[in-house]
Parts: sequence; structure tokens; C-alpha cells
Amino acid sequence: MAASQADYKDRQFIAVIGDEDSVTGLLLAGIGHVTSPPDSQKNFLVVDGKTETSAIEAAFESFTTQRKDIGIVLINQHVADKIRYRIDTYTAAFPTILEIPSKEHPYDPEKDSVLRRVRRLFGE
Amino acid sequence: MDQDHIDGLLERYLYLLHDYTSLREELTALQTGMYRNIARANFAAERGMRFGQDYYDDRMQACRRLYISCQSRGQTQSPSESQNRKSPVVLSGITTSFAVINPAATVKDSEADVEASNLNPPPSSETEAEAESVGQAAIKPTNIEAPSVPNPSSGTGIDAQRERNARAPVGECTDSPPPMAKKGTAASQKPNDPLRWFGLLAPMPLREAQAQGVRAVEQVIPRLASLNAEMAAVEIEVRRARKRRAKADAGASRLPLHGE
Repeated sequence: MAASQADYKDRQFIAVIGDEDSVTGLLLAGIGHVTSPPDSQKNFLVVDGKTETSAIEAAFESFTTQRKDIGIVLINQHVADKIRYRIDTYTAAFPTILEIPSKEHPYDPEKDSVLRRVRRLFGE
Repeated sequence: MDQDHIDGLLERYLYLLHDYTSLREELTALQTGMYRNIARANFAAERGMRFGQDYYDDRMQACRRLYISCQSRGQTQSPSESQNRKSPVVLSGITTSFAVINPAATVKDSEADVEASNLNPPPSSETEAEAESVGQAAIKPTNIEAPSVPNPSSGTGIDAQRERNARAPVGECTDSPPPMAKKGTAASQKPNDPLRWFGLLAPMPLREAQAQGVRAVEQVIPRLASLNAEMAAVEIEVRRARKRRAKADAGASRLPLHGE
């Protein structure tokens, strides 16, 4: 219990993986953080047409596994689709993954991992 | 007995699901407004300028931070805090709640409280009588005592922080010093408002986008994360209860066989 408490107490940042407008809007709200040098790790990744899936996966891995200061990972739903296998097999309590809509891809409840869990619970 | 318990859990789960879907709608509406405002700002900007990653500050520091609290829960819990719902459900395990706080606003708020109490010291019966005689009664008891009286409905932890954040101006972030070293350090307070990345005179649509982003980050996203955690906990409870019921059913069906 003590270990898990220490685990969540340090998680004070919200990370974002998304398109430029999503990231800009959320950074305007004041959640952006760059750690002190020499690491200078950002807690966001701007994804555009040229971003490789491996880069998205690496950022997801970094935010969820390597970094211990992130409590929520926000990810655009269309970006999450690219690494769906990673999202669906992610079961840790912290950080929490939340899929958010983007400018060009509206929120689709069919793909939402929480609503898929609901369907599983009710046996569909 | 088991069936009633499962029904109670599922009822609670459906209420949580309802809250989740309504929060989702709220988040979608906020984000739609945010995207529209960013698009308007980009449209009205000088030729070639785009409010995006080219202007991000590489040394940015988060001025809204997450606060996670976990409480073990073994007691009866009412299905909802806000609505009158029947059949309380017993849940075991841990309740996780998320909140986003603006430490600068919290510090300012506490400073304001301290200053208020310094300006208006708590009235003793003598000073009260004196003040009344001078005619200052209007600024006394309620204003002074309000910060110190615990509000049972708001709670002390996350709810109180949310209230403070709600009172703080939108988008205002300062790298505030610790509360101990506050006097004479006003000049050292470095403005950390992300709007400054885009120049001193940020366009109005961008300010509106910021306000919507702040609302999403402070009021919707932490509640969604908390609901997600709570729904996961109820799911585990339901599965356990179903397993217990299945075992009980299997045991009951075996009993007549033993009797024969």
C-alpha cells in the first residue's frame, strides 16, 4: 500500500498525445511541462500526418511506463486507433488513459474503451 | 441476497455511466468551442502565422497540476453525492479521485485570507462592541469568519481546491514563491501564462480558447478520470458477486445429489 501511495502522489502532470490544435488548446490551459535539462522531457506529443506510429507508441510507452510523474494521459481518439492494441491491453491504474475527440475526428462512443468495458459487463 | 447485491451494483454502475456520458458531451462541446476559437484566431492572424507548436515555450512549466487521492473504502457508500438515490451499495477496495489545481491560485487565495484576517483581526467581545460603536459592523463577523469555518458540504480536500480554482481568474498562472517568502517578491513573480507564448496582445478568440481549455482541464477531465476509476471498481465488484452467486448456485444444485 505504501508503495502504491508513493506511486500516485508524484503523479502531478497531465500528458497529451494529439493533433496540433488539441495540444495547443490544452497547453493554453497550463498543463504543459518540460522537465529541467539535460533530460528536458515534454509531457506532450504533437501528431501530424508525418508522425510515425512508432513515435506515437514510444511517447505512449514513455508517458505510461517510464515516467512516474504523469497521472492522466489524454490521447486523440484517431491517434489512439493507430496504437489500439496498446491501449486495449493497458490495464494499469496509473496513469489513466482518456480518449478525447479531435478537430477533424469527432468522438465515437463505439471506440471508447470505457464504453467497450460497459458492453462487456452487460454481456454484449 | 446475492442477486439484490448485484442489482444494486448494476444500478450504481448505470448512474455512473450516465454521469460519464454527460461529462463526455460536456467535454466534446468545450473542445468544439476551443477548436473553433483557435481556427478563428488563425484565420485572423497575420499572413503565415499559426498559433501552434512553433510558438511553444521550450521551458514551459505546468501551472495546473494534478492531485490524486486514494481512500480505502469499506463502508456503505451512497450511490451518488449529488442526487437522492436509493439502495446504498457496499463497496470494498480503494476510491481514486482526481483533481486539477492551480497552485498559484491556491497560494494567492490563502494569502488573501491571511491579509484579510490581518486587516480585520478576529473580534473579541470587547473589540466587537468597540467596532459597533465606531460604525464598522458591516465588514465584520461574516467576512472574517467565513474562511476559517469549515464547510461541511464542500469538504476539506479536493472540493475546497476546486472552489478556490473556480474563484481564480481564468488562465492566470504565476510562478509564485512559497507562501513564507511573499513580501517584497512581487517583482520576482514571473508571469507564466501560456498566452504570452503568442505575444503580448493575444487575440480574443485565443483567450476564449484558453478559457474553454481551462474549464475542460479543471472541471471535466479530472471528473472523467475519477468516474473511469470508480466504474472499474464497480465492474470488479460485479464480477466478484456474480462469481459468488455462480458458486452458490453450483453448491445448491449439488446438494440434492448428495441426499440421494
